[in-house]
Amino acid sequence: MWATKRSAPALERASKRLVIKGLKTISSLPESYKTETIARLRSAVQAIQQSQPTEQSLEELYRDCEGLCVHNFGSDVYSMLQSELGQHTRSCFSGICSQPDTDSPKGTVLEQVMRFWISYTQQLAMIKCVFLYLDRTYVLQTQNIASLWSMGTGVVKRYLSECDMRSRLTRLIIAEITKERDGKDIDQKPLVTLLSMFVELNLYTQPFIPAFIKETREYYERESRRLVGQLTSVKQQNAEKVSAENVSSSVDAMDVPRYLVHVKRRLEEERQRISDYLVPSSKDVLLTTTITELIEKHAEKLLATSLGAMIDGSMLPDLASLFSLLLSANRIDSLKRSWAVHIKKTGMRMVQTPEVGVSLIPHLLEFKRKLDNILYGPFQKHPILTNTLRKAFEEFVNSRRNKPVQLLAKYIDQCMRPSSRTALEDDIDTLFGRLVSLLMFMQGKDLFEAHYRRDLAKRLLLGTSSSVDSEKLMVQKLRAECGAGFTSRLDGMFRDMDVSEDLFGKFGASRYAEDPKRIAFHANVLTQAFWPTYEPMDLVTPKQVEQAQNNYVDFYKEKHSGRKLQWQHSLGTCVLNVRFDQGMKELVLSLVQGTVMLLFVDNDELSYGQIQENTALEGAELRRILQSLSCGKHRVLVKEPRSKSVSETDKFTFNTKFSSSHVRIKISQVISKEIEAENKEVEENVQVDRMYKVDACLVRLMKTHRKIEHNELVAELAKHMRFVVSALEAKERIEMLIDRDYIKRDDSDASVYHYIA
Amino acid sequence: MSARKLKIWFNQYKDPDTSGGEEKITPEGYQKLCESLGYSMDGIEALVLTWKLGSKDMGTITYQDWESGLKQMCVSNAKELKQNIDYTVAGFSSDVASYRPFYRSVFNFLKLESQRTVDVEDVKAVLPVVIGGDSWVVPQFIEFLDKSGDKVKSITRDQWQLFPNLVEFLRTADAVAGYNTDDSWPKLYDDFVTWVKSRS
Repeated sequence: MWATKRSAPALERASKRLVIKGLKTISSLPESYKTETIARLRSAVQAIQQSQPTEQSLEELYRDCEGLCVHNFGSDVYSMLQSELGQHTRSCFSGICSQPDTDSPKGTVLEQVMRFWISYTQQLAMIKCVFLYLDRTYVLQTQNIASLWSMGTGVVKRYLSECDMRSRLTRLIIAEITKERDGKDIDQKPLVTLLSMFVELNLYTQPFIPAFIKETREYYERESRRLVGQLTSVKQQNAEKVSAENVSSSVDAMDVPRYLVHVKRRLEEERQRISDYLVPSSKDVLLTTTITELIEKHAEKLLATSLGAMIDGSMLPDLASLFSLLLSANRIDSLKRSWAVHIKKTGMRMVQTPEVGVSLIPHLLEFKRKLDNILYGPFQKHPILTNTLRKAFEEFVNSRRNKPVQLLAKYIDQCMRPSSRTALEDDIDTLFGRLVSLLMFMQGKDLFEAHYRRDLAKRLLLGTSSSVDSEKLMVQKLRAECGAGFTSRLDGMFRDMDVSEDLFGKFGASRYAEDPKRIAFHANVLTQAFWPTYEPMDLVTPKQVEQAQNNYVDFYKEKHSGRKLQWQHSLGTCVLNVRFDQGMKELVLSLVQGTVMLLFVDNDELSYGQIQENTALEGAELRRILQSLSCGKHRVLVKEPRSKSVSETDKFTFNTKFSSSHVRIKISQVISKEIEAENKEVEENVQVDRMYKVDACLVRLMKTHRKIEHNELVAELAKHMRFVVSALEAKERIEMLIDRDYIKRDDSDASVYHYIA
Repeated sequence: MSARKLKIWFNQYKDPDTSGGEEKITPEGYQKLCESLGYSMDGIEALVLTWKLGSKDMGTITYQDWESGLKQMCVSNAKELKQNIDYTVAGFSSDVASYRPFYRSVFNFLKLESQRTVDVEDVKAVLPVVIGGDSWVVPQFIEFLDKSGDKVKSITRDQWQLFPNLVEFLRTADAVAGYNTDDSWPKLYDDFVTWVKSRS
């Protein structure tokens, strides 16, 4: 009512009674309004519930509801709805509840409940539309009152628990799922509906899921127990790829690869189940349960029965399945253990063979390659497994001292010779790379260097290496992995050879080489520090050789006056042209052999003693030489008596009757026993070197610490040494240092040492 | 005691042949001296006496050693000398600190001047004398040395010096099992204990 300024004065003046014209009185409701309207609504609701058309139009009903609400009869409407819904539900279920689980003409229990729910929800939706006004006003304004939808569904929920349908439905649903797992066809529609009903009614998380998971667990526990209990050993299948189709779980005993295929299928089925009728939030718990029962609990057994065979057979796809399943089951630790055990077992067997030969090396390479393939492929370079491989490999390679490095050096030596046709499948760069990686696993690399140097020296000096490039390539790889300090002596050897070549060219052009009677002569100058140590040998060299040697030494002294040269007769080689009855032959001999042979230029027969006198050769060495010339494959000397070995009373004659189909004949002077002895010598030298290093280190440590306890000293020593020092070796060196008054024991505690300055 | 009386006492046992220069008691005289004190040459007292007199070689005592040694012991006649020696020997079993210098010096007596080690035969002979008590270790160790033959020809100073420690360590029966070859014992002892273990 607007009170304008104009009328105000009028009112004041008039002071009349205010009369409103045309006032209508509020009509009061008829008494029966409420009951009639509600009755109308009730029958409408019932009609909806019977899927019958309503007497009034939906709009009229809507207004009826509105009207009642406006007149504050909302609560009556609400109660009416509640009771109608309740009654309807009860009557629908009465039939279903009493029905047994078996099929009936009306369908299974699940089907009937499904039908009920579908129509109920449709009806409830319609009711909600009709009674929308109620929902929006009375319901919202009143506390502790559920929305119409909630109320409607709540009615069903209450009813289900009252007549125990909850657990019955759960049980029936789960039974259906079990049937499906058993491979039978089921109708999924009821499951879809009922499970969404459960979700709606908040029955999904409780009680359905726990019961379902429990059943799942038991089901797979039974299945895995049966299948795993009957596992057979791995059948290698070369041609046929194992696929899901030809594996059926009802078949009798399977091996692990087939079991894994089966497990994957089960997991796929469960995933499918989630998308078909379960709720996505259940995916994790369902898959975890499945994989726990099928894989996680049996991890040890699965690995024990199969891993070894699968590795040996390089069954990569199956290993990939195994890995991914174990990863999902969180059992990589079990895989790690079995992986390590298998590697060590196989490796130890290879390495510990008593008479193991140089073929160990290609076997190790192949083994490593197989393991790497598995690691990088199926095992996806998993860091734990990578680490395990490295440690296990290292452990078995070093389970035997000294032999592996020696064999590795020997194998490389063979590769360098042109006669070897080893490992042509790889190019040489890859092969050398693999060999050096193999070396990196081995302890005692200083011993390897000693062997390698000895073999390299022979190859360089005798010219038996097939290619200088290959030699340099190997050294380069060693340098890259072990450092320049490791290869410094090897590099020095190569430099010496180059310098020697250069020098020799200059020598040839110089005046020192002008001797007309000279023999074809070649000399190498070796820097003593780089090359292996050789026993010095006395030898009375033939005149021509001596002359040539002296010429060379004079030439060299002119260039490098301060240096001292010493001829290594044991390394020298020569070629002799010898006339036999059969004809001229070229004998390729060591210098020492040649020297002995040349004695027979002037003498047809010589005794052992005479040879000894004329050559200044000693005992074992002389016997060896004579044996190679008279008892071996090519007998250029005849020995009397004709026994197998040389003794000091023997006599030797030049064998004019010697014959051979070749013109150029090499007579080797090395027998296999010599090679073993040589290896032993190399090992001993390295051992001596090591002990010097240990002594020096011990003294240094004592100087630093002044006073130290025994175990601590041994531990410190181990940290500083690049090779393994056993506790016993350490103890012996300490005892020696005590004896030499470098250290002394403490007076009160004999396990503590003091440095003696 | 007067220097004269000391000299008279000394002269009773000195070597009559003084052509070598200095006057000294030699092993024969020394034996007589020990007998006069009631000591057998096989006993520990004979060693203790020569040690206390500061002699460089067992049983050889110069007059200088004689005079200074007896003065240091505060002894002037045979009876007092015997008391002193007996008392010292008795003290060994209770006082390790007094025993150790004696025990260590026995090594010097056994070895030749030019050498660093002692012949194993001498060690075998002397060990039962200088190690008191009735430890099982000494006879077993001697047997072990016997059985080792050529492998053990001499004993180093370190090996000698640690022997009482070993005896002490092996006092209990289960100490053998507790012996650890990684400890700082000399390797010879490791071999010995291993040998003992293999016999039981």
